[in-house]
Amino acid sequence: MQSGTEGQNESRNEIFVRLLAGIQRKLFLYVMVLVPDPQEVEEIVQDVSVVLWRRFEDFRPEEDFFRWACGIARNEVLKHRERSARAARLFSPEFLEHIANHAVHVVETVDERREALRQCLQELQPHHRDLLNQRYFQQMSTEQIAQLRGKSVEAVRRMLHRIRMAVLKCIQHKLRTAEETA
Amino acid sequence: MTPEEHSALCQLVDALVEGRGSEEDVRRLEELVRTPEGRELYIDYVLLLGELHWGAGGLLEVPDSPIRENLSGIRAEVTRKQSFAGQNKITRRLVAWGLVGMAAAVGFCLALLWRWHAFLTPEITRLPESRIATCVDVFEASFETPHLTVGSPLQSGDIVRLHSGLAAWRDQHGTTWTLEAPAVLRVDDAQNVTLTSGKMVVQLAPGCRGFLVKTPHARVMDRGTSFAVEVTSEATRVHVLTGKVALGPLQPDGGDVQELGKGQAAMVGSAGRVVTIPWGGHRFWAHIPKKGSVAAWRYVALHDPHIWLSADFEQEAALYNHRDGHVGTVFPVRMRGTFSDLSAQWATGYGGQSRAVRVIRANRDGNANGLGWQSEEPLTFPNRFTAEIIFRFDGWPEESPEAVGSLLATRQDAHRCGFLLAAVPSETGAPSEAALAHLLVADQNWAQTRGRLSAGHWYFAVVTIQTDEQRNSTHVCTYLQNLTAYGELEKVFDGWVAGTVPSGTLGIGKGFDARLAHAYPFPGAIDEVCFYNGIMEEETIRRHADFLVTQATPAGAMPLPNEAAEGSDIGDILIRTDNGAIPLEKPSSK
Repeated sequence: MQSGTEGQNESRNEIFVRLLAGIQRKLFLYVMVLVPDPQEVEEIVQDVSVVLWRRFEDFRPEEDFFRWACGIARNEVLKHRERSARAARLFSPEFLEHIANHAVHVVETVDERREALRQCLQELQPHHRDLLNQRYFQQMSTEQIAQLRGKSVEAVRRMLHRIRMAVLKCIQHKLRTAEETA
Repeated sequence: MTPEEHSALCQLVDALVEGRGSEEDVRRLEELVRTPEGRELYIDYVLLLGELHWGAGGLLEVPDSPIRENLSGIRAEVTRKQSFAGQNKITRRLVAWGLVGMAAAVGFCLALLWRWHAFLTPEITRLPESRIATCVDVFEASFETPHLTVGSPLQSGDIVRLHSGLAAWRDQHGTTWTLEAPAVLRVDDAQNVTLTSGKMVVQLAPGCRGFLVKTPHARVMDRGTSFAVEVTSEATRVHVLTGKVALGPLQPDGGDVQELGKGQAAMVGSAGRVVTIPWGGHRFWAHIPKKGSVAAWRYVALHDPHIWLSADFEQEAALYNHRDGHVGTVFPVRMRGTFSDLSAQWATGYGGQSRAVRVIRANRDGNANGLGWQSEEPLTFPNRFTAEIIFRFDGWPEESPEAVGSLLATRQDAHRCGFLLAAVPSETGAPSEAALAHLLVADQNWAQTRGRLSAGHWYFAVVTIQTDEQRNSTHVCTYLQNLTAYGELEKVFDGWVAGTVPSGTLGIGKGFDARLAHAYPFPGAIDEVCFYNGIMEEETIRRHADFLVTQATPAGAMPLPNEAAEGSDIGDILIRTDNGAIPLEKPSSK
C-alpha cells in the first residue's frame, strides 16, 4: 500500500513538472502582458508556480493546464498589485479585466509568433541583431551598451526601439501571410 | 490609431518595461489600449519584448540551457542563487523553478528512497552547483580539451587551454570572461580564476564585485568594473576599461597594491613592483566578433603570421607596426585649408560597427582640394608585400575626366611618388563610377584594372606587390570585392607595372604630387588598412574576404527604413541601403 501511494505521488510530481515546463514560457508572457515589467513578472511567476503546486490537487486532467494557470496568474497579479508599493504604476483592475481574457487567447499562439520572431531576427542586419544580442542575450543594460559603443543612452534606446518596431512589423506581416495562406 | 499613437503606445511600453514609466505613462497607455486596435498592438509588442526577455539566446542562435538540466539541478541552484535574488532575471527564473522543483524533489526523495542508487548516476551527480560558468561564444577557437564548445560548462578546478581563437564564458551572475589564445586559464572557484598565460577581458555583471584574477606575477581584484589582463612569461599587464581595479603582487605582503581607474594601465613583473604603463585596452577582445564583420576580419588579419602594419582608426589614427611594436601617427591632411570641422574626418565603418576615417574630395580643382590621411614617419617597403584596404567610394563630386583619387600612395621625394591603388573615372565618365588603377612612375601610363567602383558601396581590395629591381618593374595582383553588393572576390589585375614602389610616407585616401606634395584626395571613407610582409596567397586572401561578408544576411535583408545620417548620434547603426534594405523608421515624438 505504502509504495503504491508513493508511486502515485511520484506520478503526480512528474506530471506537474512536465506540465509546468510546458507552459513556463507562455505563463511568463501572459503575466508580462498584465504587468509589463520583466523583473516584476519574474517575481509574480515565481509566486504563481508555488500556488499552482499547492493547488495542483484541484486541477482536473481534462482541463487545459495553461488556462487554469492563467486564472491563478491573474489573481496573483491582482494580489501583487494590492501589496505593491508601486501600485499606482501598475495597470488598474478594470484595465486588467479588459485585457486578460484576450491575452490568454493570443498567448496560446506564441509558438507561431516565436517562429516568426526567429525568422525576423535572422533577417535583421547583423549589426542590428548584435545590438539585440547585447541587450537581451548578454543582458547588458542600455547604459552599458551606450558606454561600450560610445553613444548616448538615448541614442541606443531609440535604436533598439526602431529595431524592435521593425521586427514587430515583420512578425505581423509573417503572421498575416501565414493566416492568408491557411 | 494614428501612426503617432501607434508609436507613442510602443514607447510607453518601452518605458514601463525598462522601469522608467511614470504613473501618468500607465494611465496614458491604458487609454491607448482601450481600442481593439490598441489592444492588439499592445499585446503584440509586449509579447515581442517578453520573448526577447525570456530567452533571446535561443532566437539569436545561442543555445538555451537544457530545461532538464535546470530541473535536475534546481535545488542547488536555488540554494546558491537565493542570496542574489533580484540581481538578474535568470536568478529569479531559477528561484521560481526552485520552489516548484524543491517540492517535487522532496516528493521524489520520499517516493523513490528505496532506489536511491538512481540518484547517483553520473547525470544526476553532475549538478550545476559545481558549474562556475558556461561557454557562451567562440571564434576560430581550438582547445586542448576536445569537445569544448558553446554550452560547455566550466567547473571548479577546470583548466582551459585555448590554442587559437577567442572564447567567452559567462557565470551565473552574468559576468563574462573573454579569453584570447594562446592562453591557459584555471577556474579556482566562482569569481576566482588563475590566468597562467594569454589575454583575458573580464566584464563584471552589474552589481557584482570582487572578481579575482591571479597570475604568476600579480593579483587583479576588480572593484565593479571591466578590465583586460595580459600575462606573458615576464609580466602581467592590466588595462582598466571601466571602473576600478586593485593590482598588486601575487603574494599579499609582497608589495604595494595600486588602484587603477578607467583608462589606466600598469604591469607587475617578477619583482612584484607595480609600474604604470600606457593604456592599450582597446587592443583586447572584449567581445567575440561575429563572422561577417570588420571585427572578424580584423582578428584574422592581425593573427596572420605575416602581419606588418595596420591602421584600424578605432581609438586613434595610428599605424601599428606589428614587427617591432612601434606605433606611428597617421594625421589628417587638409589640402588647401579646407574642412576645419574635426568631426567631419570620422565616418561609420563598413557594417556599422567600426569607425572609419573620412576622406573628402572638394568640388572644385578636385585633385588638390580635400581631406586625406598620411603617416607621419616614412616607411621602407620590402620587395614583396601585400596591402589590404576596406573602403567606401562616395562618387566624384562632379564629372571630372582628369580626376585621380588615391587610396594608397607613397612619396619618396619630389621626383618619386607612386599610387599603390587609386581610383580614376571609369569609361562612362559618370560621377557615380570609378575604375581602379596603379601607377608607380609618374611619366608612365596608368595600369588600368578591371575593378569598378559604384558610389555608396563598400569594397575590400587587396594588392600584392613583387618588385623586380633589375627590370625596374613590379608585378602587381589586385583583388576586389564589392561588400555592399555581396559580390564575389575577383582578381581584377595581374601584370607588370613600370617602376618600383617608392619608400617614404604613406598616403591613405590621398596621394602626392611632385609640386604640391598633398594631392589626389579620394572621395569616400577608409575603414581599415593592413600591410603584410610577403605575397599573400589567393587562398588566404579569399579566407580574409570570407570573414567580412556573412551569408546569414542575404541581399533583400529585412527592411529597416531610413536611418540617421552618418556622424549623428546613432551613426554607428547605419544600414546598407543598396541591397534592398529599408532604413529604420524615424521615431515620432512621444
